[in-house]
Amino acid sequence: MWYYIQGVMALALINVISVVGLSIFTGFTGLFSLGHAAFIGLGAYTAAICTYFYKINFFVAIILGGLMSGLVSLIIGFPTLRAKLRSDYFAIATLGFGEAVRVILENLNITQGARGLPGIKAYSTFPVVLVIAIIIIFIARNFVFSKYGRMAIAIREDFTAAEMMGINLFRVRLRSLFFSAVCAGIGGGLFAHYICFIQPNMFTSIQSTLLTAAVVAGGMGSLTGPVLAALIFAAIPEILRVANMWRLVAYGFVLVAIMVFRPQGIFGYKELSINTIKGFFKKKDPASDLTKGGAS
Amino acid sequence: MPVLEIKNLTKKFGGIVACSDLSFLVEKEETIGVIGPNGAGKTTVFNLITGVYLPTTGEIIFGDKEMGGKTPDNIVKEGIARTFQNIRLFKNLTVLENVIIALDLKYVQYPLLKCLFRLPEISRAEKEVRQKALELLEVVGLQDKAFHRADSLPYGLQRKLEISRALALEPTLLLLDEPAAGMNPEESLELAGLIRSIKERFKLTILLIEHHMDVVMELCHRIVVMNFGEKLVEGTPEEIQSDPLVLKAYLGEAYKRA
Repeated sequence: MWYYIQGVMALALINVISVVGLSIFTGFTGLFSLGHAAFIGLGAYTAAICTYFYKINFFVAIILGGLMSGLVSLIIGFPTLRAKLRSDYFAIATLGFGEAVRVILENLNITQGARGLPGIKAYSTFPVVLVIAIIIIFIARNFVFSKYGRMAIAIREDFTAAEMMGINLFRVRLRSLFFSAVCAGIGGGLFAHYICFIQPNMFTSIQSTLLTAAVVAGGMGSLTGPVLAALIFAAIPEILRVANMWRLVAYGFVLVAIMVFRPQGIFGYKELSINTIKGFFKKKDPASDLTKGGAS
Repeated sequence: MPVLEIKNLTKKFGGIVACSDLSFLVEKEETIGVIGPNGAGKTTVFNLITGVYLPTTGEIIFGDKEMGGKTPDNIVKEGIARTFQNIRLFKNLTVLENVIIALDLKYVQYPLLKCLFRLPEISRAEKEVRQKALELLEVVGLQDKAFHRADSLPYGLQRKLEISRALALEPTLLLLDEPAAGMNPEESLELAGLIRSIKERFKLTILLIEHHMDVVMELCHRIVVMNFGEKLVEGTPEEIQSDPLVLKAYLGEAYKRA
């Protein structure tokens, strides 16, 4: 039983890593992506090929996976973000990009096409994933509560005004995209070494949609919200395993319920911290916890 | 030497000429009013100066540099800041954070890598910028509201916050787009007092679009009157008040002096 729980938790935390990255991009910078599964796929394949064919150290392979995704994100981000595509047009562009990456993975020799890569070593144990997830969340938090995070938030709030604050839209958006792609790539690398077998159709737009759903349901402009949402969404299908086919319906139902009753997401713009919990129990003036809070 | 020189500036949107062959000068530490009926092209001029639009033809010379064709963020770095006619605050953030975002440009310099690991110097820099932001809020009298959400402020205070956010950029030229819009006569006179005091304190040159004539007459050294994208007349407030062309533009052909 403990083994099973560990397995589910590891998978959930792998998801959390990608979701944290996407929350920087969608929640804090305000751009929607429907192609983040492509970054996960790129990271997964890069890391898996590194350890499988070239016997590179697992941790180095994970980082290489992240960097590969980051590099590709710059290639896709440069033309689309430079053109200042509006949020919805940009989402369509990423949708096309996601499909393109999947097709490329299916047709390369080194990825063994649609047959997939079997026999990847299971390095992603629960403790390893937990430590990496904590590091990623720590770095993401530092990013958000800094000048760089504030610039991203300003763009989300009002990009015309942000430009008038001397913020270069292109650079900040590209930085957020890069950051989220690296997270997705690291998540993908861990995923490959958890599931031990990858094939291109694991990284479809459905995957991307689920990531975006976790960010929106968790709260746009919150880090802890999407983390919690990702954990919940990983747990629901497992808890409801007894209900068999109805579990995916329940999953959809939870998502609808969140959007109806809390359209701003579980946490909205707030973070789960000791201060917010204190504030929840005793009514206080809004000033006291914000002095400690920092951005958002 | 003039701070801002606008030379034969023209902006066309398809067939519509929003700004046509406009020229005027702004001297150092002067307050220039831009007035005119709705749709005269006043805000278009601001958008051209701040790089939101690219001029079709003409030049915008700030200091000794040509601004036409630069992006808004680079123009801000040269020292031009503005407020917006339809308030554009960062609504979900606190009043303090709104100002801090503007301060980031000049006061917060740390590299990205250090910030990812939150070295002590980052926390120190954050503390300093917070202090600086509070000081700026004090100038416009918003220090008590520092931790309120920006969109929870009443309308008049939101305007003041926009001004203090623009001040945080430490501009030499400040463009104010209808700062007194929606205010009653008392509030707008109080705002005029505030604008005068910040102008002296920060040695600003101000370009002001405003419909409240009492504010314009109170503050401005010279006034540029626009109509249908063109400059109608330019002069001191006294000259403008009695100019027949201005009266015609505002009140129509049939206007006769009572």
